[in-house]
This record gives sequence, C-alpha cells and structure tokens, in this order.
Amino acid sequence: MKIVAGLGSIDEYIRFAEAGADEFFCGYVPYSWTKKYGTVLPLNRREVLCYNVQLGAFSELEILSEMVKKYKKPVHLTFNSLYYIPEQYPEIAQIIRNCMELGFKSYIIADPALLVYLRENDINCEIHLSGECGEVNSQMVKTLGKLKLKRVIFHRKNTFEDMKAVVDQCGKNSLEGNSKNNKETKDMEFEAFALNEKCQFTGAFCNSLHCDEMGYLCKVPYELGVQKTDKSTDIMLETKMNLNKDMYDDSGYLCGETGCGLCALYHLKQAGITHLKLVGRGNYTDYMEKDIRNLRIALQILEKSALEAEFQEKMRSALFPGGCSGNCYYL
Amino acid sequence: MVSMIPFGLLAGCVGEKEVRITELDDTGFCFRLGKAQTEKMQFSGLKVSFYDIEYGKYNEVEIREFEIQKLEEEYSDFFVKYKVAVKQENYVQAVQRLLCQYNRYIHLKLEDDDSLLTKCMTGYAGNLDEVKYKSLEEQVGIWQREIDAGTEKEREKASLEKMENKPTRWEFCLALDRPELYRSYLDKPLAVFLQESAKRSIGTCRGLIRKRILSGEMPDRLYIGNQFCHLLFPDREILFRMMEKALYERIGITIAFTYVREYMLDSVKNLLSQINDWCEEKNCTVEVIVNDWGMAGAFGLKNLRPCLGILLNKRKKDPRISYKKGDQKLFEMNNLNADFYRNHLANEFRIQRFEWESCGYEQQFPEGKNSLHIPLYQTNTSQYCPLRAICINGERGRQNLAKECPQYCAEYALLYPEDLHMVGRYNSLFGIDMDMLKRHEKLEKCLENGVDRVVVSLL
Repeated sequence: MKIVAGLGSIDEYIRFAEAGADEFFCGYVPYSWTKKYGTVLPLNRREVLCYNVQLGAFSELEILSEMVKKYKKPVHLTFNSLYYIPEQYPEIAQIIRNCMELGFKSYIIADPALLVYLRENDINCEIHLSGECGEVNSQMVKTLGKLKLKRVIFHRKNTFEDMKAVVDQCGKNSLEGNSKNNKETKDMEFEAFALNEKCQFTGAFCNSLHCDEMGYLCKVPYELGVQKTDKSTDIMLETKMNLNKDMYDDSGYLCGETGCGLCALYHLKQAGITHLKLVGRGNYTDYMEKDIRNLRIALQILEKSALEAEFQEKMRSALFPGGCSGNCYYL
Repeated sequence: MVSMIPFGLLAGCVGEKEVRITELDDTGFCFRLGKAQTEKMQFSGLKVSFYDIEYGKYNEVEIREFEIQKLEEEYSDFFVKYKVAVKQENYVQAVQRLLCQYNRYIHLKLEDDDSLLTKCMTGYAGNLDEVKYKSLEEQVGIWQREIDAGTEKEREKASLEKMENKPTRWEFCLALDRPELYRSYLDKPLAVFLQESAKRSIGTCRGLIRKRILSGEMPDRLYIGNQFCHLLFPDREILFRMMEKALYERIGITIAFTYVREYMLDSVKNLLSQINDWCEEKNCTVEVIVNDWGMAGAFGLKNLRPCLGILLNKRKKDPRISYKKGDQKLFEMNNLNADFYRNHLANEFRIQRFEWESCGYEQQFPEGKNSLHIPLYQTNTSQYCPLRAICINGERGRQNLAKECPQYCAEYALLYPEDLHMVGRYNSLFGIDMDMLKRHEKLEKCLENGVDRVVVSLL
C-alpha cells in the first residue's frame, strides 16, 4: 500500500518525500477565486484562509511541478467541495486545464456535478472520487464509475467487509465506462484513511461551516437529554480521553492522537486497499514528517508479519511504547 | 520579517501572475518564482492583496515605489527568491493592519475557546457553552414561546388563509420518519393522527396542520421512512400496511430511503422490486427518495419515481450562517441550479424532483419539482450513530456500524445551547428554522419561487 500524504505548502514536498511519502494531495486555491467567493463557496473542503493548508499562487504549482518531475512522487489536486454553483463549473474546468498543462494529472472530486461537467467538456483528467462524495458501496462505484474513475477514496466510516466487497466487485476494470474508448485503463485504485483527524460525523453529510471565524458546529458542547420531561437518564458522558504524558515524545507528538487506523493496516491490505491517506494539511510539519515515517515503519512491519496479531504487537511496540490514543477510525 | 503568512491572507501579483509572498514587513516583502519562469518575467505591475479579517474582504495595494533584488544567497534547485523594498504609506498601513489582525486571530485560537472566538470574530452573542434544559420536550416548549412572542396572531392567520387560497396548487405533506409515528399512523384514525401531529408541531407547521383539520382535508401525501438513519426505515410489513392505509385514504406516498450500506444493497433492491409490484397491482405509482448514488443507478422500475434526497442535495447549513463573513447571496444556489446537472439527473436516473430544506436563508429553487421540508434542516450526519455511541460507550466518538438498534433515539436526544436553535436526533444534527416558523410569508415566498410541495416534519 502506498502512502498519500497531505501537503500544506510546497516547502514540505521534498522533506515528506524523503520521509517516505509515495504520493501527495493538496489544495490549490487561486487568489482570483478567493477574492470572488471567499470561503462562502470554497474550492475544496479546507474552508479557511488563516492557515497554510493550500497552495495559492499558480507560480507555486509551477515550482511544485518541477519538484514532482525530479522526485517522481505525484501530487493530486483537491477540488472536493460538496457542491458548486453554475458559474463556477467553467471556472474550475479552466483551472484544471491550466494545472494539467503543468503536468498535474489527477484531481480529487466530491461533487457529482463537477464529474459530469468535466466529462461532458472532454477534460480527461484522472479522477479520484473523494471520500466526501457520499456513501461508498459497490453499486455507487459502478454508477459513478461510468464517469471514468481512477481511484475511489473510502470515507472513514467503512468496515473492512464493506471495502472488500467494493474492491472485489469493482476493482478489476470491467466497468463499462472505464473500459470504453480507453484501452490503456488500469485496475481501479482504492484509498482508505490511515492517520489523523477522525470526525464524529461523515464528511459527505457534513454541511455545517468549517471557517476561520467560528468554532465547528460539530464540536459545540452538548448534553444528552431525554425526549420527555418526565423521564430521566443515568447515562454518564465520558469527556476525558485516556491520554497520559508517557504516550507523547519530547516534542509533544503522539502518532494518531486525533485519529488512527494503524492497527487496521492488516485488514486494509486484506480488503484490497492500494493507497493510505495521511491527512493533516496545516499540521506542524515536524509532526507530519513523523506521521509519514511512522506509517512507513508500520508498513514495513506489516510486510514481514504473517498474522494480524503479530503485526499489531510489533507495530505497537515500535510506535506506541507508552500507549496509543485509542482514537481508532476502525473500531 | 514575518514568514509564510497564509496565501489566503496575503496574495501577491506580478503583472498577471499570482505569486507566493514568503516574507514581509512594513519595509517590503519577498516572493519566489520557478526557475524556468524567471527568464521571461517582467517585474512590473506589482500588487499585494491583504485580507481584512475584520471585514472579510481584500484590500489591494498597487506597489509603485519599489526596488527589487534577487536573493542569491537563498539558493534552491527549484525557485528563485526576490526581495522587494517598498516605500509607500498605504503599504505600511496595510501590513500593520494585517499583522495586528493575524496576531489577534492566533491568540484567540490559542485560547481554545470557540465561544469567545466566534463572538470576537463575528459578533455572534450566543453562549455556546450552556445547555439549560434536560429534555427535548422542554426545548420545544421554549421554541414555542419564542414563536408566540414574535408572532402577531391575526396577521399570521390572514397570511395563512391567503397562502392556502393561492391559485397555484401545492401539496401539503407530513413526514413520518420514525417507528413511533409509523405506529401512531397505523393505529389511529387519520383525524386523530392529524390532531396529534398538530400537537407535535409549532408555529407555521402547527398552523398548516390545523388548517387542514378545520377544513376537513387530508394531507396530500405522506413521506414514509427516514432520510438520515438506515435503521429507522419501517419493517417491510409495517411499510406495506402504511402504504395500504394511505392508498385507502387517497393520500400520495413517498418512501424515503437514506444511504445504503453495502450489506443492505440486496435487501433494498428486493424491497424496491416489491414496492414496484405492489404499485402494479394497485395501479398506482409511488415516489422514492434517493440518498445514495448506488441506489440512483439501480433504478429502472417503472412504477417508482425517484426524487433526489436531502443527503445528496447539498448546501451549506448552519444555524450561525448569518454571521458568516462574505457574500451571503452566494449561499442561495447549489449544483442543482446548473441545467447540465439537472439534465444529467433526469436522463441518467430519471430524477426530476428535488428535496430541499428551509435552512434560514433564501434559496433559488431551480426549474422543476421542488419539495421544501420544514422546520428542521440537517447539518451533520454519521452513518455510525453518535447517539448510540454515547448510550453504549458514554462517548460520542466511539462509534461503529450498527446493523440493528434498540432505538435510543426514541428516548434520548442531544440538547444544545438555546441560542443555536439546534438538536441532535438519531444519527444527525439538525437546525430549526425559527424564522420560517414565525412568519408564514417566508413559506409563501418559497411557494411563489418554485416550491410546489411543503413537507412538515413532526418534532
């Protein structure tokens, strides 16, 4: 399985590539877009201006394209807002055309309308179906696969059985749309989340604001209440995470602190996952580099392990000597 | 110099080319260019765009008085760095304002207090930390009092009459979205069920139901099923009993499905086939709400009419949305306003009706058939139920897939600070459009602008 790491700035590319990332994904939001639409209609799901989570200037893409030529680690550009408005489709298409001229071939997309627009306008970029698109099941992949998908990214709330079923039914390139008029198509790729940023809700169904000027709606404090006033509850909310200082290294880093799927690598491989997503654009660069190195170590251990228990024991002993966050994606 | 201020806050342009400003202070700034691009570069038309965090817009400063030099000492294989010395008062002021605002923003974030951040950045005065009530029933009572306080009864009554008497026909529908309501509908005469439905409603919704009761009319249509949770769909036997009753009562039927988990694909396909057969036998058609692209793609049944569900009809929804900085008009449309997309949905999936929610701001409904759900609007959904995770594990984040559920949502709900006007029900969070509940005119305006159906959710 290959590591696909988030890139918040071109300054991270070489460092992350040397740390072991095989591929990257990043957002590109031109100033012309932000000036017109702000973060009311963002170009991708990082709906903020106050963080280094996007590439902004086209000149940065020009530099990055030269880095990609040298290091051979491809970068996928993220245009995965859940929807756009009519005037934006031709604008995005032009942005993608410009990026393709620089050699960026693949695009992470969540809005089915954008998929349709690109294909109807003969923009033959590679499409990675974002985990933000909707529920991923085998029938969904067959349906949207008619729009010629290169890769499907599973959202975090999938079971291994579900992923395997999709891979088994859709992995070989027998889909009509994928094979038609294109003799060079390869088998579909499947990407799953591996580290960081576990969400309590599902990206595809998350419509609340994630902007600079407000806290996230999904993190607003709440209380468990009863439906009827004459009832009561004895359910106690656990608000403290079981984290202790021994888990962290000297720099305050704990692998998978905000979300982790490392114990699941064995099953992800069995399910047919080809790529692992390491999210964290905008995180401390040092922490991201450690994430990449740790994921690489975990994959090396996986290669040498015949059984799941053996893998998990060796991986935990190597990466989590003081214990882990317990913040598992795949419970 | 301050380095690597995010591009969203500080964009540079050299002529037509957007460039990354890597460092800046009030004496000037640095930017970089790819090596291949430097040869043909003309260093004229310099412009720096400063984002004003307070006002949510850019201040563009043309750089007219400057000196530019290549920074030979900062060598890279890939780019060349330039330093621009600027002597302009408006540049100095813009830099100072940006750095001051950015510094303040970082300090607010470091406080780790979302309530304070939101208040300072947007003026939102709500207290995001305090939940006052213990039950949803109490919460609804508060909403009711808020509506009563803000409503002029006579004016509202006149408005409701006017809306009902409009020449354009629109459908009034009730959403039965949980087992409690399925049972209630099956067990009671329609008149009694409507009386109870009125009691479960507030504001405009209650007014609409009572108007029907008074005039002796039935709802035009029932929405049966839940668009958000896969475990709240009625059992097969209950579903068909409800459909039989609705058919007998001459009420239209819309069956609401949610996302379809992989393990459910075959059973959903079989059920759709059975519903199609039932329609064939009864010589009728039913609508089916589709919230899953797989299900949309598997549709070929002549007696079923697919409608695009709320989970696939996406837009920004947040009870604090009026406080969001930027051009709020941009919220009014989404991808369904694009003709090419609606044509694709019609040609590929036979989808020509769209399900919308009233969510606190004006929407531009596209040509075609548009159903408006009131008063709740979904903001967040998890296929792994957060409420169930709390009830089983005491922690909302410890979720996993449920294939069956004792329906904790029949007993519990997540309650939120009063000002937010939101609630956590089953596996989702919802806002409630209080303005729609207070003012019938708002609904009337929607009916004038493309909505041909109103679907009332019961609280």
